[in-house]
Amino acid sequence: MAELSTITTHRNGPIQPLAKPGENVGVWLAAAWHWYEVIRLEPWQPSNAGIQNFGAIVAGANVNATLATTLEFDTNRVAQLRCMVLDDIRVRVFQPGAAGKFVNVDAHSEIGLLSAQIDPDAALTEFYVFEDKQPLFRIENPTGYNLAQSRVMFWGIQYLLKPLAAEPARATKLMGTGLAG
Amino acid sequence: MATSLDPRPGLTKSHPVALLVTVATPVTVFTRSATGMARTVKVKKIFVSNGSPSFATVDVGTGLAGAFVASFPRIRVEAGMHETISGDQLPNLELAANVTASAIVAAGIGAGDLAVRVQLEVEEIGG
Repeated sequence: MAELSTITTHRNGPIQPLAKPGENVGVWLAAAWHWYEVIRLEPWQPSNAGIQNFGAIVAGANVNATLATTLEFDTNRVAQLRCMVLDDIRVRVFQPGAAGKFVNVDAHSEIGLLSAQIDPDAALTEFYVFEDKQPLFRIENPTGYNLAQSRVMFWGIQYLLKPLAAEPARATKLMGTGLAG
Repeated sequence: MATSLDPRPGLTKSHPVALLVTVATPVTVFTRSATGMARTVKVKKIFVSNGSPSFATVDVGTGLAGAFVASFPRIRVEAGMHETISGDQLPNLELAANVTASAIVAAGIGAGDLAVRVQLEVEEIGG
């Protein structure tokens, strides 16, 4: 079995699995690691089905953090996801709702149209969703005109998992929340 | 003086057609995105049509009313004609304000078909 890093991270370039069937993952949720063996995995394609429209936003306004309902996965599944915006919006991620993801002391970094130009594989947008623990997205219209829609497209890989009773000797760790979650 | 690094990524945008119906009265032809850290604007294409019976001189710049300042040399458009300026014909000027336009017409400018119409294509710089 190939050795996997035990450091939580995305990998640069197009999305690729962080763990293969037979390998182990840890998912960080509710301030604890939960351990699983990967049974199978399959892609979640960038497509119409993976687009969530957060609705119309008037010039300069924002939509408060809204659950990404398109990203609910079944029992014992975790998804490794990336995203890009399709409209001229700025997106802040919260996971869980009370905790910002991609934040530092003073600022909350955002995903926007320019993100795809600087980070074409959307590697820096990567996040992980365990079952129904979806992130929330705050959408801002930075423009001087009203937007009729505010769309974000998600894609990635979902893993079918088998719970493990104890921490395995080696596992890839996936953050199911922001650092503060 | 304007300085820019061309590989900077920008967003290409166009606004609806703006109508100049009164002489020397600037109107906004592109509203820049100014929420949070405001973006800057590079004008990439200027399309002007003159519906009045006299030739028109059109300025594109920034500011409204008495605060208007032209950013480019004046564009002269003959009566009933149009003018398109684009690409490397335009100086690579970067504006930190809404883009506005103003027209001077000897006589006959007005609403509807008599208006001077302006439409811009711009590139917005900033996240």
